[in-house]
Amino acid sequence: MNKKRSDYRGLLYITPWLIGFLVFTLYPFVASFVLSFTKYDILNPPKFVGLRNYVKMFTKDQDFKNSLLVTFKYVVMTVPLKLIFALLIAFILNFNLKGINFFRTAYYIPSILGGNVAIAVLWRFLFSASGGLVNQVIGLFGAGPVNWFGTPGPALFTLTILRIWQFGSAMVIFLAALQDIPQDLYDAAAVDGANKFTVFRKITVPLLTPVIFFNFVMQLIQAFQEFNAPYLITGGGPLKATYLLPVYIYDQSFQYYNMGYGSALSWVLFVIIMIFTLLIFKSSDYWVFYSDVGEGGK
Amino acid sequence: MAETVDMERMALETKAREQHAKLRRKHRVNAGIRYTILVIGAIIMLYPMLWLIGASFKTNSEIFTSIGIIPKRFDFTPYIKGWKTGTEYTFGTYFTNSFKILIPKVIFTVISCSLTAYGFARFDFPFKKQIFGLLISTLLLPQVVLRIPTYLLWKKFKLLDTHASLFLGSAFAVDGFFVFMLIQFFRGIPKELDESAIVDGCNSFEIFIWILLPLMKPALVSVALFQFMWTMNDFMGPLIYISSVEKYPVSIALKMCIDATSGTFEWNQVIAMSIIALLPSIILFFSAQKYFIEGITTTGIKG
Amino acid sequence: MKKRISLLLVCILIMTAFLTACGGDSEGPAGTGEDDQVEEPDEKQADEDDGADKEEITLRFSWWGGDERHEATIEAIEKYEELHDNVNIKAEYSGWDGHQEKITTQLSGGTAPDIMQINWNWLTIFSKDGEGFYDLNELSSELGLENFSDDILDFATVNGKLNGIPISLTGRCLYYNKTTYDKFGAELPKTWDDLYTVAEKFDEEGYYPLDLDSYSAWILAIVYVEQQTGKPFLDDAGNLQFTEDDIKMGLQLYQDFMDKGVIPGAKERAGEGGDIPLHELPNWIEGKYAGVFEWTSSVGKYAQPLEEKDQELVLGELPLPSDAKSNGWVVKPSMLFAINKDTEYPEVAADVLNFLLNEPEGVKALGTTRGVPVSESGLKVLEDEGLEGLEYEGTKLVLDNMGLGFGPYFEHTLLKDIYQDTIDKLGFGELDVDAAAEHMYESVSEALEEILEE
Repeated sequence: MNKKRSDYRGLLYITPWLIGFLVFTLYPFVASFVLSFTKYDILNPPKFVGLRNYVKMFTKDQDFKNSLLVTFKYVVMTVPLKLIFALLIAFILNFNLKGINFFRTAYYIPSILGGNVAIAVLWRFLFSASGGLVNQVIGLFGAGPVNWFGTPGPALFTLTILRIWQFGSAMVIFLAALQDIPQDLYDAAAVDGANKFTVFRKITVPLLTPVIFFNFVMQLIQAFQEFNAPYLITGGGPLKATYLLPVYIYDQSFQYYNMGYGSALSWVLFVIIMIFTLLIFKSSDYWVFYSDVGEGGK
Repeated sequence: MAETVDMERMALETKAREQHAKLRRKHRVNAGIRYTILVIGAIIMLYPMLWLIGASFKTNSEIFTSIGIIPKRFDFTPYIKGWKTGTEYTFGTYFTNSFKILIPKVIFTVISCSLTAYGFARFDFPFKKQIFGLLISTLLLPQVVLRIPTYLLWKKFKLLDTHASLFLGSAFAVDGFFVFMLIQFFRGIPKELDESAIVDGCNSFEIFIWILLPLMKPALVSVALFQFMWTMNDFMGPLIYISSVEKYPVSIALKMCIDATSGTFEWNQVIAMSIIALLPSIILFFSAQKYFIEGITTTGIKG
Repeated sequence: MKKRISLLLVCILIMTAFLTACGGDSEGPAGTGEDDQVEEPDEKQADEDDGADKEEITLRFSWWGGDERHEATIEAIEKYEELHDNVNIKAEYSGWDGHQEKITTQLSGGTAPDIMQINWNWLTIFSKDGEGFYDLNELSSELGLENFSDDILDFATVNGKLNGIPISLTGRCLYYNKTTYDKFGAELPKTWDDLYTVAEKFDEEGYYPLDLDSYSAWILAIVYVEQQTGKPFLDDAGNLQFTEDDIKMGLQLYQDFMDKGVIPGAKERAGEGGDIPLHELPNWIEGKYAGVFEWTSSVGKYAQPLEEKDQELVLGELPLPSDAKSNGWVVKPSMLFAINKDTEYPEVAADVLNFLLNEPEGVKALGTTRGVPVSESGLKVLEDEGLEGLEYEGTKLVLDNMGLGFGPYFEHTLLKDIYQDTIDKLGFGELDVDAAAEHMYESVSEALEEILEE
């Protein structure tokens, strides 16, 4: 796809978004960017402080360092696990078995539950050190009880488990994409005597790559912005081991009333996510196959 | 000569039949395994929901100490009292409000996001990459720091305390998530389809409506489902923009009686109402499944 | 590669272009506060058109709470409206979750209600200089301020301006699960040493005479130190009065409590429920953690599940050595009513508050849904009807023993997080008592500098 002539009809089609961007999105973005160079307690006018917020962040803010590290750990744990899980389940649920609608709904229910008031209570039943269900189960295999909420690493992992359990949205997107794979491709493969795994690897996965790519990018963004899970379950503890950056941003903005500093933190998070997103976009040339440009990638 | 051909054909047919039977056997075993996995998984996925239903009949102390599903007694008072609420309105009002936000929002989202995604996926206009970059960047900033400026914006538009403040943005595809998602789906559809339609004399809008959208049904349904469920669960948005109790949606109403600073409340009422609040999403999701099956037969793109 | 970079650059360029453009026409969020005052009367005007002869007045009144408070307040409002048919009160209420953000946003946007229920420590955020809310001293006759003692009004006075009116007071009290104490044949503790003696009697695994979350632990530690030194932790202006040694003394108490089994260790406690509040933990509901140091206004939440399980929660005594320099009781207004400084009808708003706080009809309607009233006439009305219960007993005990005070800055979230962080680090064994004391002293001093700046 080398030379294509410009087609202004495209601009016409994206007009709704352009208007929305200019009218609704741009101002809050710019405002928060400007505020990141100020000291702003929300109630009094902001005071310009230059780069002070950014300097403070990188020179003496231990909480920032800690929550950045915790966030990275969380992202690394959660994103791949959730993606693989969602893809596998979507694959299993893609067959026209009897009662499949029921199963699909059942598997999606955890995601509908979202931040239900009872999630925290349920998670306690699962992970409490004395008598929690998980400890009972691993006890059957001879593993000693784990103090899930009371130990930094495992506490973070309970959040990952919550998000893996709520894999539904990524799964639905995979499922929708699986519907778009032409049945005749499978038929052709069956005639060629290809086994299941080969079909999966050679046909399903390549045709899914645009959506795997989408889910990968979005899961990454969402994991970096995770707020609800620690807010619901651990409150950031123990010892700030689940104190993710977005929780810290919230605290600075609406608990400590340092909205200027909170904005600066947000923009740093913005840049971090941006870098990762760009890397994924860049890598997509090598592994994402779009049907709209013919065989073999862009 | 003819005989040998016949023989060969018969041999081939038997072989094919054998293979077929083998496949069918394999299918049955596979189905068995699949069902077993599905059932075990479904129990894990559904247990919390069943627990919630049980909990809606329990007392506070029972809720917090028992992981079992079956309550000591069945009594629908929590549902009745919960529905009445401690406010001037019943949950009927709050459900109506939720739908007043949901219906326009879902419709607007599907229309505006699919148009925008089509523009990005199929046309090459100036600064496309840059504009796409902007679209993606709108997803990257934590919402919490945008709250105050956005509030001031709605105030400027004189739309505070209206349901419109919660759905108007969707008419302009402000949810980059959905636009990006639909772009990916558009790009999964071969361009030959468009090209053959152009030969048939379709213009770009007709291609969009008659050729591409039908193929996108599963994706569009997913967008609608997500927007429905996420809006249903959205708490902070309505809480900040809506100040009149009579305009509150369900998500706020559910937390109306929860005062973490003092005072006790009956958890079973809250849980009972949260179950009712989940029903529309569950029913919708279940009934939308047919669009996910249909896909298999209708989107097969021949040669 | 080049394309990606150019993408990024153009993004930044466009952003900055718009940034400068937008910077021109308004000065960001601060500027918009101004034109709001023009807008507010607009809305009112619309309401006024309805009333032909008598001026129709609409007041917005916001609070957070649970069902009981909602129902009682709506009833009281209806009674007021019956008596004043030109006044229409628009109730804007919700649960606790998110309420502070809502009020913050409204105050920042100039759209806050005329009457607001606020938390005491919000004064240090919303009204550092006393200009954040209407000065109620100007409305003393409409408000019936003679019903409130100076001590109580002092709580809400900033820079000589009365920013709010305390509705009720609350204090930290010790409550014990008597059923569990009886089980071990233990007496309720009366002195600090008693706690250790009781701990020895609690000889079954997992049972403790008291539970302290990290914040409660620090408050109890302060009580202990204040009794020895006679100094508050912070004074009213927010200056740190404790020395590093004082802090160490308090932290040592917490360490001793853990070591001697008075309270469950931090690690064990966290392992039970993550961030779940104590009253929702089986360890509390089943009587294993048999004591709590809580605000009297919150005790209901702890008593209710125990009652369901046929256990009894009783009010304990606060340990007070005979040579104590101060009794150390921690008291604060549980909440205040404040009037918007930009309200159009301050007198009417004050009259509504007078009705709710001082006049028998309003007071009866509200009952104790906002705690035991501090208004003298309000209290009398309810006492005549008969008051009892753990909250009332506790509050009475607290009021008879008002100590050094507590200072509005003590509960600033930034400081709260430091106390909790330090106690956790000590509890998990990350820091020893000396290091923890140093950490807290330095962090608190630094945070105070930031909070009190400007």
